[in-house]
Amino acid sequence: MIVLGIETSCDETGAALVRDDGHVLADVVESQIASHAPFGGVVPEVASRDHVRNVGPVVRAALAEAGMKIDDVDAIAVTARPGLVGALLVGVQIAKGIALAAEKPLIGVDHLVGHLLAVFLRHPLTEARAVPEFPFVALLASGGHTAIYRVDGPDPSQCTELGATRDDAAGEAFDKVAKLLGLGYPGGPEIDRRALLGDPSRVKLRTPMPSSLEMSFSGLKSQVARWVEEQGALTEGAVNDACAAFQATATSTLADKLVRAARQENVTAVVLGGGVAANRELRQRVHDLAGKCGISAFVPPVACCTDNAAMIAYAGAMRLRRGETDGWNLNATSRTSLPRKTRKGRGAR
Amino acid sequence: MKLAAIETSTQTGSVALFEDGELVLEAEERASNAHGESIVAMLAALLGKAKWKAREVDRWAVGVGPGSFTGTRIGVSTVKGIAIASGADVAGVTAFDAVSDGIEIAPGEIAAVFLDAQRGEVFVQSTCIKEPIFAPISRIPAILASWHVERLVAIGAGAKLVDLSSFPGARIVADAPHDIPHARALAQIARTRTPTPVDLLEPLYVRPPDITAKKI
Ligand SMILES: Nc1ncnc2c1ncn2[C@@H]1O[C@H](COP(=O)(O)OP(=O)(O)O)[C@@H](O)[C@H]1O
Repeated sequence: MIVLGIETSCDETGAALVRDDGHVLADVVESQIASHAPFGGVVPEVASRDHVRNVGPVVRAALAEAGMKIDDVDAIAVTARPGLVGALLVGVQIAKGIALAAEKPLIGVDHLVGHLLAVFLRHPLTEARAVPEFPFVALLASGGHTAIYRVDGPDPSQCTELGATRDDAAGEAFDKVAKLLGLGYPGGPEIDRRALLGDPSRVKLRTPMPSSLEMSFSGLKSQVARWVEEQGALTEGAVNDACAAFQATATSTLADKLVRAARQENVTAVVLGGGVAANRELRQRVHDLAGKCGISAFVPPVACCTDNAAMIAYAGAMRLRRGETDGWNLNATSRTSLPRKTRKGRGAR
Repeated sequence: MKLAAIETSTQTGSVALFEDGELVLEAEERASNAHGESIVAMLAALLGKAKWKAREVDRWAVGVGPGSFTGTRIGVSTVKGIAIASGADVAGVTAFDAVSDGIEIAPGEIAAVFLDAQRGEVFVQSTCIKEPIFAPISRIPAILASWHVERLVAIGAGAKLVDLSSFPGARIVADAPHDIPHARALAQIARTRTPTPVDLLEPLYVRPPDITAKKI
């Protein structure tokens, strides 16, 4: 079974062809970073306009990369939630148009389920990797979402939230801290790069909510903001130290909670997903900490962690296997279908 | 030749099927949510009734606005998807062209098309200006005065929003089918149009995007 996946939930336009065994036949992502960089964040209407312009060439590029025609595909999967509604609608309507004209089933996919299953993707050019078995515990950390899940199977009803952020997402915190330090957008990769050059011990930051599986990142961001105010003029070296300290605090808390959640659930595999999983320190810490506890860490290649359509195609293939498809009334919504446990903004940190 | 048209740039969405220049079927529906849930269902039902397959349609006409940003993108994206899968021709038709389709302009008359742009504004197109504009309704009389128009033909439902009392000789054509764009008009126009390359098919936004920067 081969599924065409389409992803337009935020600021990447993606199309991919994936087999239901996870084999990626084509994976094309067109980033809009340059369109949003002048505004220091994603502007929804600009994102929607870019998707309309890019999605046709991106879909055709994916088909060409796989050497396939639309008739070779068994179904069309598309991200229908969560995300920017105007941006999602571009992908959803394109998918409906293709499905109608090609007479193929249409499958709406929850973007977060895509991230949780991205660990099963196999890229032909990367070396063969082991994949986890269910159940596993996964940390999903992106620009819009950060939570730890117990995953018992590919259906959304088999994903249980164990703890999530009470406020900002981890990637959002990276981006906001970068802005505070006068760095460009998106901030995650820039902080990752500078952290290597800095000394984390020179900036003292407290770890928020150390004893819970729930998380908080806005307090950490405020600590950096206060430090910036105290500094006056920032030297390159001081910025690098702040990057190192912020990244060390953020990634150690994420890694610690992930491994703690796995032990609590008696599960022997942990998985990383979402754009922040591209962070080198986080990858290393999860690897090391899990190893110490006899837990296997499954860390997908960076291209599978950040937004991509291959994970959407794969999640769609899993739905199709269960006999699930959607009708022409498939709608886009900003909310995930995964049940939420952590309440936003509640209680003491 | 089989031709199908989709219009979603206002709250009234419509679909029309034409064969060899004759209307086969049409449907129209009001939707409060920009037609995302309804338009393809409506299209599929109409195709079914006509016993057509989407892939048999030779040309797709689509309304490119200006109008609701999201609404217009829904129609444009749907048609792009269809064209990617079927290889059919596409033709984007503006709301200005759709609304003024079939109106005779006498020698000496100057036509201006007015479309409701929400937020107290209208989109305007006329031979007096190079590009379509959007402006507050209250500013329109002054803009028209600057064109020195003697015999104005004010077209489109937006004309009813504008104070035209300083143009006593104006002819107003604002009732259906010249109120808002309808799929039937798109189809009639698209019949003789040169197709639009599918990758260049885009909404005619006229109004720039709202920039709401995230705060830290
Ligand atoms: N190396 C990195 N270190 C930390 N954060 C990163 C890194 N690379 C990307 N990010 C962050 O990941 C987020 C993007 O995540 P992604 O899953 O691709 O998108 P989205 O959140 O839009 O679904 C951004 O906030 C970005 O700063």
